[in-house]
Amino acid sequence: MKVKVSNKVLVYLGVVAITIIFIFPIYWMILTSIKPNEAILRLPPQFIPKGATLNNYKNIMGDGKFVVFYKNNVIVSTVTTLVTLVLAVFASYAFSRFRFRGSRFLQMLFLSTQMFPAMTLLIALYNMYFKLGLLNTYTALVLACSTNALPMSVWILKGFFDTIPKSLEEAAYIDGSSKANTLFRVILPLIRPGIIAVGIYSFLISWEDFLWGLTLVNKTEMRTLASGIAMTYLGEYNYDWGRVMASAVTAAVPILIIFIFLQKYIISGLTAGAVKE
Amino acid sequence: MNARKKTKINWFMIILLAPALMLLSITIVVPVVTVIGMSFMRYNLMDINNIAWNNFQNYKDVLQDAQFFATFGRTLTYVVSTVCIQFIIGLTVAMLLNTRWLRGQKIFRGLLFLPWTIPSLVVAVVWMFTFQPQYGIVNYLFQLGNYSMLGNPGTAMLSVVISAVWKQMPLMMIMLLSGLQTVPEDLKEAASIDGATGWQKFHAITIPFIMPVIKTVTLTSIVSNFQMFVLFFTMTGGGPVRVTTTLPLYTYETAFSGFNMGKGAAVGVCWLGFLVIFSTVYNKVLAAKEVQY
Repeated sequence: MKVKVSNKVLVYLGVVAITIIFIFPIYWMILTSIKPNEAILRLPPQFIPKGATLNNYKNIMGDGKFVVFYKNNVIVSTVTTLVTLVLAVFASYAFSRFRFRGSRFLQMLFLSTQMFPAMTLLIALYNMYFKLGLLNTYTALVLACSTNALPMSVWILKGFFDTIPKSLEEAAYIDGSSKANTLFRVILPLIRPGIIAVGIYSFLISWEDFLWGLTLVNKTEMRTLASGIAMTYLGEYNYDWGRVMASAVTAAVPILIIFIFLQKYIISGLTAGAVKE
Repeated sequence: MNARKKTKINWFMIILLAPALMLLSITIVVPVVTVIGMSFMRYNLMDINNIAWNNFQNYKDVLQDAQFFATFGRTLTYVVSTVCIQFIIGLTVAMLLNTRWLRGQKIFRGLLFLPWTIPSLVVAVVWMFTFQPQYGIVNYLFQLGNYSMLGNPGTAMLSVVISAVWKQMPLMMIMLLSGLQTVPEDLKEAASIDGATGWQKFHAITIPFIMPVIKTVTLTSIVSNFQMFVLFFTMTGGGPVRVTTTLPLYTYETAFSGFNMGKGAAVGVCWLGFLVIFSTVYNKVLAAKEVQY
């Protein structure tokens, strides 16, 4: 079939226009963060920087708070990722390999937990963590963030396990390999793309957490990035936009970099579940 | 031997499942049960020693509170408009990217996916700056003068919807695109030969084929947008004059700022009940539109 040239031009124009609209806010954020203050407040806005500065970044790095928020966020997200990965690999392997009474019901229950309003759970969780003395701890944040990431992670990984034939394990068992050994040495290496996808997904979920960081923590030295930025740089009446944007860029950069290098794993991992069912 | 093996407890499986089940029990099952219990109690943080059964008073309070219904309506407005807009844009973009002769599909897909990787708080901050009345880019481009998009009751919700769509559209688009890639080309070609128009092919082949994907992505998006907190909390704080106070903010205010944990719990239970019923019905209705090939 021949496609008319005018149609081709229209499709390309449409795609390019939408892409520019969606990318522009990111460009604008980065640009604002390196503008000197008087350039940020100028009309008409400068779309191409004149005289870039790193002052905003020096400002936030030197204020003694941002670095703390950042460190906390790295700790919480890294631990959450590890916890989620271990729990999700175990659970999804069991769901994929063993038929047992209530297996389907349990899987549905796992997925439907995403429906439970976090704000509602918070009412009970707050009291619980308070009584256990877990407010203002990494433990509380890791538990909360892992819970957020776990259901989807199990779902994604089960899809990957399902693609591996059972005969592979049977062969390994005949060779005298133990069950645990088979899982770790034979099966896991085969689903590496799935593990990478779930690792990135759970890192992203905990990296962007706002609600738990806001409510389960009230000490500045334990704040994580999102709630920290909101409480520190957005608290004043007149925002210092350069500083706010520098903190925003710094908060967004790790995920952007991860995505740029590993996007094929993220996209295939996220879409595998939706298309299969 | 075989009969014994079948009744043997599979310890390996139990060890695999136990950690995840334990986590979800502690952080989901126990809180849900606790919240349901609390919703029937007089439970005020200012009067913590006086917790007692109060004869459905919390539910009476909620159902007699005009604010609750207004809040529920605003939440629906937000959820419906956000999901519809991102679905329409997402499907349009996905279909454009799925054009057979389009070059650079992967590059466009990668670029368009970027907003999804931006943390929600950063999304809020970026759009607050974009909508800034004095030197914001939106006011400059659309010649709005000093009009405050976020500070005006007429446009505050719209502004939050725009930022939510920006962040969420990429995921919707990626899912729909991967669904579209499973639609067999020969089916569409056969339809063309039989004289089907573009719209007929879209309506009769593409949509039924990707219905399972549509069902999953829209339901996920609806459920998660009911929970949207960070954008409202940061961008508008529920204002002006409460036009952006949605369920999460209302629950937060009632339980934590108003210290009325019992009523907050009752709001949460109504909310949860609504979602459970809604998603069951939604699944049933859309399942009827699927086709099996």
